[in-house]
Amino acid sequence: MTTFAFSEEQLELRSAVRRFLDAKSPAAEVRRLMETDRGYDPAVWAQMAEQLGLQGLAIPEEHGGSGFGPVEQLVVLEEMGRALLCAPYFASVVLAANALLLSGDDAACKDLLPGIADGTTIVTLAAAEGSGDWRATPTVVATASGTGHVLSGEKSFVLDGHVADLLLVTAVTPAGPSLFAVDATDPSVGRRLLETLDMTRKLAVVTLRETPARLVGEDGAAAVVVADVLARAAVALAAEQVGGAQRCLDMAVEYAKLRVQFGRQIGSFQAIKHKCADMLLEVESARSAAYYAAWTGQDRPEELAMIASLAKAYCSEAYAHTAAENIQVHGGIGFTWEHDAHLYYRRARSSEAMFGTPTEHWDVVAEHVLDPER
Amino acid sequence: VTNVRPASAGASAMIGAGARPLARLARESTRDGDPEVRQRLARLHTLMQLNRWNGLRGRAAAKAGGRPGPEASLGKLMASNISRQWRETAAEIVGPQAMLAGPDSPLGGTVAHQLLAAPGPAIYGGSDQIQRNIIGERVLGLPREPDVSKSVPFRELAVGTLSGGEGAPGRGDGGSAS
Repeated sequence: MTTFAFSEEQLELRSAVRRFLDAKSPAAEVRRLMETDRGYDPAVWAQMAEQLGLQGLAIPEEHGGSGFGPVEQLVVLEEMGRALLCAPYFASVVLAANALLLSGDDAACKDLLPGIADGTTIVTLAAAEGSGDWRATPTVVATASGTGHVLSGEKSFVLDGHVADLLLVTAVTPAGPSLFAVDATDPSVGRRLLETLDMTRKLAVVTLRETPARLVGEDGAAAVVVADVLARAAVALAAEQVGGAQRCLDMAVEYAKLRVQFGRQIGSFQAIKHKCADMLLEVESARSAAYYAAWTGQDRPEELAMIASLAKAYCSEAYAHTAAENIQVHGGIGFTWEHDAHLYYRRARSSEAMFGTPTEHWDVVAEHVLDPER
Repeated sequence: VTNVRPASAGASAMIGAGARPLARLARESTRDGDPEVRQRLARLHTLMQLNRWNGLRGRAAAKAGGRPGPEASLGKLMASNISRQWRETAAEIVGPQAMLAGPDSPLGGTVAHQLLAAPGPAIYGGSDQIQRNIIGERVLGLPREPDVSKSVPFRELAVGTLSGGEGAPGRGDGGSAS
């Protein structure tokens, strides 16, 4: 499929998702849900699965999904970022489903993916610990016990870890970091919600005390799986960031046409107009980066790691800047709790720090640029 | 910019090649481990790629819908950004050698050339400021600046530069309208 050319079906998917989110995730609903501990609406979550099949979109048909790919996933995530949807979608569909698929464990995929695909099971990936670094070697220890393992230790920055039914946990065995599935409702599992800058995205600390666990994939193979999941997650997050950044630009332009000062619409002042033009350049370039990354994931997955870093670095910076400029264009009203500008600013600053800062990802790109074989 | 020597074909090709010649220069001068150099190289490479992808995406949209999207109008601003980023990356790599010109300057004089030439793209062919007006008004639909030229006869329009003490500027004061 030609890079950047959306099919009719993909364009229809975008309008269907936008219509759904306009109805189900307006700003008032985002504000209501972000104040709750649960952080999402189970009824809307079920409708997402039943009416639109969003949870199963990119899960293979043999595992209960629709078998679409990274480009369809991009379309959905861009719309979710635009709407600031409060739901465990990123945790369950992006992190956990990809971790299972990349683990190469057919039995685990067969058992667990159908529940993710139809939205009845919420799964998340618990890889990071106190430092928040997703690539750090885990300190959680897995000990052989009977026919399986038990896990002990503490995970942190667990996306939607407070509502997940099942946790995919990285833990160390004698063979190295390995991936395990854990029943999140087991009495030996402690869960505490963290206070987050971005209230629309919940993070939890998860404590395990000799918690029964099932090995997923090969013993000692988790480092590679997590690195591959992170590349896909970086592209998914970049898509979200594009949606959010576009919304910030739209808000700024709309207000610049509405607000009158010194007898003129403020958008007629070059100080404002040029800001908006620069925002457009960033948003459109971020879109190109995220789209190119999605098509790379579909057509040339072996090149994904570098492109994922490029997209994550650029889209993070573009969103953070656009969200801040949106507040500036709005002036005083943009810096109030009542205005939605800060919700996007919080999401932008938070997702910039998730899965590696731009500085870390630029360095990955630099490694590629400096490769003499290139 | 009259005091910039025209670029040799080699210099133009090197600048057009983006981060690649600078990456080689960084490796050869063992500056490739410097964190700032690495960040700048990555950003330069990215801007070059984004400019290309913006163009491809514009063409894909034009093919699909018959009308290019907003990304088609952004190449000029991006080219200015790339030009400046090339200059900054080169300067960061060569350090004190940025003081040298001509054949004594790294990459056969290309670094000195770009140090001097980088402001050009933001001016010629419609300055960045005019580009931002066009993007703001035609793409984003923002209102125009109040324009006195609409209500004043052409021969009475002030242009050029203000020269001290001679009163209001008029036509033929020298300088050039941007």
